[in-house]
Amino acid sequence: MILFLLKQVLHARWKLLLGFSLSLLLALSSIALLAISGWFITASALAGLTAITAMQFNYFIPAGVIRLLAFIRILSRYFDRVVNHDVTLTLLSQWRVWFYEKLLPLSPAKLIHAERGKLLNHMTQDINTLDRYYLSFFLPLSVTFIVLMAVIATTFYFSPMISMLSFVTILFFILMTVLFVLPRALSAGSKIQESMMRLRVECVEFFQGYFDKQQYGDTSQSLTDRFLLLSYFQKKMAKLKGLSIASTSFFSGLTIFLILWIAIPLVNQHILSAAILTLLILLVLGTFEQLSVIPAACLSLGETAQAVTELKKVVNDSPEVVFSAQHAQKMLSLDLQIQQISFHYPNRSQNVIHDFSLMIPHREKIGICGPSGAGKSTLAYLLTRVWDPQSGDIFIGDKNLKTLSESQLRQTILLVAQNPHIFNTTVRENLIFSRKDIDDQACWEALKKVVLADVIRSLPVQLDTPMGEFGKYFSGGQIRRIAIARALLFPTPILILDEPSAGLDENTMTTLWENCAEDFSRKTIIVLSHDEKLLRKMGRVATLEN
Amino acid sequence: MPELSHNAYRWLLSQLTDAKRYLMLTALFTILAGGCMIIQAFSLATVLDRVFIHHAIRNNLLELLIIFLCTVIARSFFLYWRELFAEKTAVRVKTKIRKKYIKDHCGNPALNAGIFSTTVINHVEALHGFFSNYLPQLMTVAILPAIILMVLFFQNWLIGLMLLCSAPLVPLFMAFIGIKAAAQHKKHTHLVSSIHDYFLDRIQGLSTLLFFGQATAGKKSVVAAAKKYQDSTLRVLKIAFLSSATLEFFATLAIAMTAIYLGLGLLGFISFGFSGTMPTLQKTLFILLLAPELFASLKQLGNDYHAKNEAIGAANIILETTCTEKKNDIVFA
Repeated sequence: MILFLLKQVLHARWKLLLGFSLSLLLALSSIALLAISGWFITASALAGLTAITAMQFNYFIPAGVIRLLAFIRILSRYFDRVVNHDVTLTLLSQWRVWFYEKLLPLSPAKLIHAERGKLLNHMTQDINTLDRYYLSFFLPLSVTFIVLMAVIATTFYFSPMISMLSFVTILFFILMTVLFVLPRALSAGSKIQESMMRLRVECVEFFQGYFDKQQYGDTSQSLTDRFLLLSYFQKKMAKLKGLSIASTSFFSGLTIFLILWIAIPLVNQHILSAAILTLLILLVLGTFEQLSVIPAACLSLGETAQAVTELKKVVNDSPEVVFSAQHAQKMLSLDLQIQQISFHYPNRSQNVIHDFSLMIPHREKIGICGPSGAGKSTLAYLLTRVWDPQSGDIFIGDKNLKTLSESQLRQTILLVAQNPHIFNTTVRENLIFSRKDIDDQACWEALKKVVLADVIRSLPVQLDTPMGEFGKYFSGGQIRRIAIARALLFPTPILILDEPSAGLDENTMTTLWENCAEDFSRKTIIVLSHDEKLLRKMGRVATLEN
Repeated sequence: MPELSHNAYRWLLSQLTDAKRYLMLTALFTILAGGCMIIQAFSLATVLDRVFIHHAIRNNLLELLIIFLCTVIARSFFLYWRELFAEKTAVRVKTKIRKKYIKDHCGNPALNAGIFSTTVINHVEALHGFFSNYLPQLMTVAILPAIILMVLFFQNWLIGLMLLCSAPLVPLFMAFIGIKAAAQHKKHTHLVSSIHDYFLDRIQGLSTLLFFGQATAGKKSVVAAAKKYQDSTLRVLKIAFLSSATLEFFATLAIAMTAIYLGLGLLGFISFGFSGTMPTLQKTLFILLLAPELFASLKQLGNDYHAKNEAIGAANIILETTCTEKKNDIVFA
C-alpha cells in the first residue's frame, strides 16, 4: 500500500517540488520581511539621531529588499496554495479509484458480509484524510525544519549566545508538543475517526433498518447518544488545540523575554548592535509563527493515522478465492458435477454443507429444496465461487471450477441472488448494465417475460423511471422480476435462481415461468427454494439437509 | 442564491439559543487576548527604545520586562479558554441540530441512507467552524482592529489613515469573492452528497456487478465520479485562495509600506504624518509590531469565511431535506 502511495507521489514529483519550493519561499519571505523591516527601522532611528549619519545611511538597498520580499510573499502565497492543493487532490482521486479496484478481488465474499456504511466511509472520509499526510505533515514540517535551520544559522552568525538560547527554548517547545500533545492527540484523533466510522455504519443501518422493519422508538435516542461520544473526544481534541495555541504563544513570549534579559547588557556594552537585536527578535517571533504548524500537525496525525489503518485493513485483506489467470478454455460439456463437497464458513467449525454430491446434466431444470439454514444460498455461492469448498470439487464438464478464469466463470454461471441489488438509477440502466449492446426492444421483451412490461409502460417516463435506492420505488416482487429480466438479457448456459418466487403470487409466477420457457429450454436452471408449487415445475428436486 | 443563503444564515443564528453565552465568552477571551498582545507590543517597543536610544540598563527596565512577561502568560491562558468556549458553543449547537434531524427524518422516503448519514454526520459537522470560529471572530473583528487602529492613529495619523482606508477594502474584496464562493460552495456540497450516494450504491451493488462480470467496467464511472469530486473541490478552494491572497496582499503591503515610511521618517526625510513631533523608535517599532496584527484578525476572519460558506452550504442541504419531507412519496407498488 505504502509502495503504491509512493509511486503515485513520485509520478507527480515535479509538481510536488514546485509546491514545496513555493511553500518554502513563502515562509522565508514572510519571516525575512518582518525581520528586515525591524532592522531597517532601528538602524534608521539610530542613524537619524544626527543629520550627518542620516545623510550617510544607505536606505535604498534595504527599502528595495523590503519591496522585493513583499512582492515574493504575495505571489508565493497564492501559487503555493493552488499548486499544492491541485497536486494533492489529483493524488486523492487516484487513491479513491485505487481503493475501489482493491475492493474487487475481495468481493463478493467480503462485500456480502461487510457492514454497509463502512466501505463508503473508507472511500470518502478516510481517503480524504490522506491528503493531510502531505499538506499537514510532510510539507509544513519539512518547510519548518529548513526555516528553523536557516534562522538558527542566521542568529548564530550574529550572536551565538542568543542563537543557542532560542534553540533551547524552541527545542523545549517541540519536545513538549511531541511528548505531551502528540500521544494524547493520537489517541483522541483515532477515537474521533473511529466513532465517525461507527456512526456512519449506524446511520446507514438505522435508516435502512427503518425501511425494512418500520421499527422506531429508542433507536433514535441511542443514535443521538452515539454522537455524544463523538463530542466527548472532540472536546478532548479542542483542549489539546487550546493548549497548543497557548503554548506557542507562551514559548514565543518567553523566548523574547529571555533574549531581552541576556541581550540588554550586551547592547549596553556595545557587544551587540541595536538594529541586529531587533532583527533577531523579529526573526524569533516569525519563527514561532512558523513553528505553530508542529502542534497543528500533531493534532491531526491521529485522525490520519486511524484512516490509514482502516484502509490498510481492507486493502491488505487476502481474497477468499483466487481465480486462474488462464484464457478461456474450450468446454467439452456443460454438465455440472458436484463431488462430495463440504463447506464451513471461516471462524465456524460446523459444516453448512457436508459431503454433498450432485450431478446436473446440461439443460436440466432442477429444484434444490431444504429448510432455511440448510445451505441453499451457500451452495449458490460455492457454484459461483464466492467461496470455495474446503473439500470436494465442482466440475463443469471435465473442467474443475477452480481452473476457470473469472470472466469465463461469469459467462458460464449466473446467480440471481436472494436479495438482488437494484442500482439507484433508471429501469433501463438496471437491465442493461451488463451489456451495452442491448436495445430498448430487448428490454421490453425481457420485461414482458417477467410480467412487468405493462406496469413500466404505464409510468410517465417508462424505461427512464428511476428505481431509487435499492429500488425503493418498487415492490419486492417487482425488484425480483427486474433481477430475473436482467439475467435473461445475460445469456449464460447455467442460471441459478435463489428463492425467485418470494414476494410473487402464484399466478404471476406461473405466467413468468411459461413466458421464460423458451429461454430456459437452452439453459441449465437451478432453483433454490422451499416453495413447493414452484418446485413442482422442475424436472427433478434434490434435497439439501444438514 | 442570496435569498437561500440568507435564510440559511438566519437559521444558523437561530440555532444558537442557549449556546449564546458560550459564544459571548469566546468573543470576550478573544478580545482579552488581543488586548494582551497590544500591551506586549507596547512594552517590547518601549524596552528596545529605552535601551537603544536612551542607553537604559536592565535594572531600570524591570517593571516593563515584568509587564511583558505577565501579558505573555495571561495571553496564553486567554487563548486556551477561548478555544474551550468556542468548542462548547459548537458542540451545543451541533448536538441540538442532530437530535432534531434524526427524530424528524427517520423513515423519510424522500431521503436515502447515503443522504441521511452524510447529512447527519458530515453536513452537521460542517457547521462546526461557523460557530467555533466564524461567529466569535465576526463579533471581535469590529472591536479588536478598531482598538488597534485607534492606537495607531494616536501614534501616527498617516499610517492610521492608510490602514483605515485599506482595512475596509479587505472585507469588501472578501465579500465580492465570498458571493461567488458561496454559490460555488452550495453546488459543491450538493455534489459531495450525491457522489457519496453514488459510491455507496456502487459498493453495495459490487457483488451484483461481479456476478455479471462487470465490476471492472464499473471502474470507469468511479473514475469519473472521483474526478468530478476533485474538480469541484479545487474550484471551491481556488476561490478561497483568491480571498486569502487578497488579504495577504494588503497585509504585506501594510508591513512594507509602514516600514519604509517609518524608516524614512526616522531618518528625518519625512515629517509628514507625525503630528509635528519627531518620530521615535518606540512609536515606530510599536506600529511595525501592531500593523500585521490588524490584518491578522481580518485574515482570521477570511480563513473562517470559508467555514461560513461551508456552513451555509451544509445548512441549505439540511433545510432542503427538511422541506422536501415526504414530498417524493411515490411507490409504484
